[in-house]
Amino acid sequence: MTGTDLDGVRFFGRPFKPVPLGLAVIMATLLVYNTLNIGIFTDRIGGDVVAVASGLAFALLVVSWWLRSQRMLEAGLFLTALTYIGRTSYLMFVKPEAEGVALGVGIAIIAAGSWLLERDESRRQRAEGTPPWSPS
Amino acid sequence: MEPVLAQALAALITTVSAVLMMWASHRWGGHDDK
Repeated sequence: MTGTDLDGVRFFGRPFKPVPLGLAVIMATLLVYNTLNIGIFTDRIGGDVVAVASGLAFALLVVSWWLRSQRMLEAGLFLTALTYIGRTSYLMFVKPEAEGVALGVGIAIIAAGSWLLERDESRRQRAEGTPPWSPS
Repeated sequence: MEPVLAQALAALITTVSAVLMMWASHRWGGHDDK
């Protein structure tokens, strides 16, 4: 486990990570809205890019949890951060007065920070010989 | 701003952010560097 797990909590023998779970919900939301062309991008190409990126990020976050893959989790968090940075940047240019800009900055920081924390701690654990996702 | 230009700038910001994130990880996440 890493420091982002809830100690002692297990679902199907896997650790519970609240932050990646919340980000997976956000990615699923972006996937649905941009697939249906009802998000801030409407039917523009940026919406298609966000749909693909958010779908991939969602898949990585869910599959990494099931497969107990730390590297897939980190890839999912990285892609989540970039997806939200892209979406928020676009919103900042087309509708700067929207509250979604500031909220998006916060979500991007959460995702990027979570990625940094997971990456940092998994490196440390590997260096110490206790790989992440090991039973604890 | 024109949506096309906004999308191009957003793509640019995203790319720069990716580089910055990798740099930050390299700079502050080096626990396995011996």
